[in-house]
Amino acid sequence: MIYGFYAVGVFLASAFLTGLVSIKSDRYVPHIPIAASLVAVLLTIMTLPDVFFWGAVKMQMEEWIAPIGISIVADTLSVTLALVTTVIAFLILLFSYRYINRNSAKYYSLLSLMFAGVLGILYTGDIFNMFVFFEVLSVSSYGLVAFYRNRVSLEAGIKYLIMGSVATSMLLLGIAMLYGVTGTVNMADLALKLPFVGGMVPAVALALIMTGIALKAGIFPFHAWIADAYEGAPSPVSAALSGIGIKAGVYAMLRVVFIVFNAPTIVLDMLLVFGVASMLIGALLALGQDNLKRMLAYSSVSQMGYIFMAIGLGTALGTAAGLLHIVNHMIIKSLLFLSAGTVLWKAKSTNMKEIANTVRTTPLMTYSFLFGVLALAGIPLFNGFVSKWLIYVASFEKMPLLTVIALVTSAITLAYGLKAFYAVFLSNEKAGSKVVLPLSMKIPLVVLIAIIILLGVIPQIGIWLAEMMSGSLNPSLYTGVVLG
Amino acid sequence: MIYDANMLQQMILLFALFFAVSLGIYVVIKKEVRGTRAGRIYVGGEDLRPDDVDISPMDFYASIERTLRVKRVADLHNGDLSRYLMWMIIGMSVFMIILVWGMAL
Repeated sequence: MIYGFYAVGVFLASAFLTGLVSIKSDRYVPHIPIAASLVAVLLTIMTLPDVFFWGAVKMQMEEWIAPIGISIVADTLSVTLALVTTVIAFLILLFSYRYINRNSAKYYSLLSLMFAGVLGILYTGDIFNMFVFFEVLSVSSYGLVAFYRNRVSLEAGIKYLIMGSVATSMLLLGIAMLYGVTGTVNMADLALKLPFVGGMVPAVALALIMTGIALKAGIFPFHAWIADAYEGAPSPVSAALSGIGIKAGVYAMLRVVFIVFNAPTIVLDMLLVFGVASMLIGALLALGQDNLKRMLAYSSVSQMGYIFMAIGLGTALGTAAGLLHIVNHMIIKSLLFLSAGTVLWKAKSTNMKEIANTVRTTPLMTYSFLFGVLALAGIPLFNGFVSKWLIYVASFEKMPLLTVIALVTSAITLAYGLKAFYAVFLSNEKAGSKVVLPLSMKIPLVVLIAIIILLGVIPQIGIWLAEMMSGSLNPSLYTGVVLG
Repeated sequence: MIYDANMLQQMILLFALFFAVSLGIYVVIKKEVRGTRAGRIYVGGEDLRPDDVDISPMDFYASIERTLRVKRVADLHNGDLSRYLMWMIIGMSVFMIILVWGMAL
């Protein structure tokens, strides 16, 4: 039994109930998704023992056997990402409790839908269902990005909607082509049938699917929507998009490339090249920013580059490093966006100079951003160091030049991170009013800092996790579990 | 085992030790310096006011930004939707060409 999959239903119910409860009063609206996220965490934890014992478990919808029925699959990769997702979802919802004062029913309803979409992507073993959950994630994200309904957020929402719609059209077209030549949408079944399909159709389908997913993952040259979307969205939504939303894209890319297509060398090489380009271009764009949220957005593009570069190396260590960096980046970027949110909560602008003149920060706000920056740059004692170190070692084994590029990018990361830290948190001692953070905003920051330091001081946890997760990308294990 | 975590932990502990020692030295030095007199700033024969030598954090990396041509990359991200869609189509075309060519081999 995959209890974690029921978390999808819990979040869907939360989306429905928040709307229903808001008819009477908005007062109890935030309690529903917060409670739902706690239930989701518990359900995911209940899934862990089976998955870590067997490596992977599956469940068939309505007892229809695979590949006819829809398969739900939980392996170490999906369940680890689901656990991190649900914990971060809980922290983001808790943070939003005092952050969002208007239209809270719409906000919590859309956010619950978004989390349901991400969890659905993580657990489904069916590529068409993956598309459906991508749509759930995307449509709710469009609404959340445009939530403030001001010029910036509406423009960002419309841009994201148009680009996202083009991407999902390509994704659907690619899936349709695969179905046309194989007659199945079950990923394990596709993996078995595709090697016997000749012609150009599988390659064209893969290109279309990769384009659709690459936009969701925000890698170069599909990254353009990210800065506008993150800037226009409320900070907790930016944290959800960066910490959870784009990781769904990375996960889907891994499933399609490694499981369905058995990781052809040409695809891995392509991921490597696009990863390096993302890493460098994202970091350079972040360095040139005066806007705090745009800087963090481009930083996400850069970190996605690290992940794709590591996976594109095609070695066991590289894959493990990339997977660990996914988990680490989820935690780090959530912390950075939430700590930026504490400042932006009272500031009227996202420009770093203007923030410093309007808001005086507290030590918790300052240290949470500083720790986030240090972890992002891969400084020892923080979790980012462990995954980045593994990426350096893995890239050095394959091509030392890549290590040099990764190290230079880390230096640029530290530069723009400290620039933002100094501009926003250290230049405002005398100016503006002091922000008093409620407990609901303090708890998420403290929890995320604790996780970052724990994973940084005890690297054994991260390395063990990375090793377990990389086993999930073995197509024979996956097809064996799904098709028996 | 993909990587020896113990070695990594030793590195982290060494870094922690180095950081702690550096912090200790800094604190000691700062304590000694605290009582000293603050004089006027005199650089290259020119008297400067504190405001003149105060570097804005926003401009601190200006020279690096110029060297790395950051502005040129940033100018390409001007918010023009049709340009962004064009990149997407170019990206897809690159995927398509490489995959059709590469997987046919």
